[in-house]
Amino acid sequence: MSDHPDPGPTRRWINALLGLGIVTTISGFASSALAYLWPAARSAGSEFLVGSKGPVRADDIGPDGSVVGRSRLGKILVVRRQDALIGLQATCTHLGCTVAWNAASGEIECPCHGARYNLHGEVLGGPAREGLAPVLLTIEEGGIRVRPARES
Amino acid sequence: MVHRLWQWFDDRLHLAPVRQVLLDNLRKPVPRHVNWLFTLGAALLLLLGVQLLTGVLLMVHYKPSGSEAFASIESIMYQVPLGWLIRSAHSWGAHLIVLLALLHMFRVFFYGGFKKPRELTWIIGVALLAVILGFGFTGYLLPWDQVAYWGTVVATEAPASLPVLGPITREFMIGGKEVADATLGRFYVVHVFLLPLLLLALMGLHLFLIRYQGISSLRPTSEPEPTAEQLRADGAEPFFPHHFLRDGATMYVVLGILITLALLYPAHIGAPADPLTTPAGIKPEWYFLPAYQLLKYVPEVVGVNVPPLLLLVLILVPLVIDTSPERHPRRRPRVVAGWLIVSALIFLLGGLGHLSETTQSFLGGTYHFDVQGMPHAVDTVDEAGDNR
Repeated sequence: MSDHPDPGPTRRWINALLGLGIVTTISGFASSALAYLWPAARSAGSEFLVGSKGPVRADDIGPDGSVVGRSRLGKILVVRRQDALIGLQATCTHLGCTVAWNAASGEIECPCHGARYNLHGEVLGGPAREGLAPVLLTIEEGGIRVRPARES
Repeated sequence: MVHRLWQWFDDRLHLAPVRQVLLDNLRKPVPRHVNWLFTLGAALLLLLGVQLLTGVLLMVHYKPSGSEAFASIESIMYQVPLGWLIRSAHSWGAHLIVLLALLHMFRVFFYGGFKKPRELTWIIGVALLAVILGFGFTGYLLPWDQVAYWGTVVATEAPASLPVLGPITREFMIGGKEVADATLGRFYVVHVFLLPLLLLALMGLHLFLIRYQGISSLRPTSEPEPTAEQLRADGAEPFFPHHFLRDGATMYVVLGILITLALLYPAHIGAPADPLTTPAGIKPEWYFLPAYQLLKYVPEVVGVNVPPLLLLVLILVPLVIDTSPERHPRRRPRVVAGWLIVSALIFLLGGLGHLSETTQSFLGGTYHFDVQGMPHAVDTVDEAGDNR
């Protein structure tokens, strides 16, 4: 490269402009592709709990039973324990599997890597570091309304 | 007829010198130590061809959308004539490719074939391994059954634990907050278009380098490579037809194994994906089991980074880790011992991953292996009823 004579200021300017033009073209294509691929924002979802067979009602959950449904707060686990309904985030904080209530052991368990939680959402064992966030449930005519616990 | 056709092209393009180069290359002598272990690459080439063919056939009937994918696979399995065989061959082909790629890598490592001047061939080989694993990762989701769905949830959740860019990387990869329709579209395009393109390019380069540089000798890298004349004087046989025939024989044996497996153990399809219920005992493909098991013992930021780092370590093998001129495994005992220890650990992790959460009988006793893979004699475990 050093063998080449200095091309002079005009040629240097033209080279720089050519380079800039090519970079701009590529950036234009790349940014359009990126915008096209950017994940679309999902609709907020319902305030009421919706299961795989439609809206979940409090009567659907028997004693010591449980159900997982969706709401605008994400996947929610609802457990009936001594006439009270307890609601927690259902997505395991370890690697995103859906947790399940085990009535026999009285614990919430993740089937993927064995994380265990109590009904307050606190970690009892397994690889999870963070607990499951509790949510506030109110039984209304439309079904089970789900709100963040801190609103209370 | 063939001669006249050749003449027609040669008159216009003057192909004689090109033909001579190709013929010389085909007749290049292969060193005397070259044996059947050196045919694994050819078997891989065949299997990749089978994957391409069966993959294109599957694409004709497969529908990459959350609402249709599962039903289209069911249709391929139960309605399309021989659909079950095409899908089973594709599925078994994927397993065999990973297995043979690992064996091929072991062979090259032990013979010191990655050493100067062939470092680049090795590095491209490692990239090919990454592409093959990428195929396994993206193809796993496509049937859209429970195992596929939840296996992908766990695997894509892993990068989210990386600091700062982790969550956004995951979201971009799966096209949203959770694995859904958008994920299927992305994985499909990567699986059937981007990765095949990358594979063909890397494979072409890999093969070109192997043919251009020839098979490595067993001499230390400090000595000059033997010339073709020296190899011939030493009793080396030409690549064509001698080694070519060996390659062909291995290809047919591997093809036989593939078809036998597809016929005797056809691929199956489970229950359709249900994002609200994670089934128990979900496990990834065998080649991801070591990573899966590691995640149970260490914080995810460690467990997630170790497997990709292993690929980086593989790249560093010829550049940093084993730069001695010696090729013979006995003359580089430390590196070989390190390789064997790491391989044994990975194998052990995979074995524990396979056994975890199962009940097995051996040596006259029955044992339940817990999540961590630790055995408990079933008689002494009071939660024996918990065995799944």
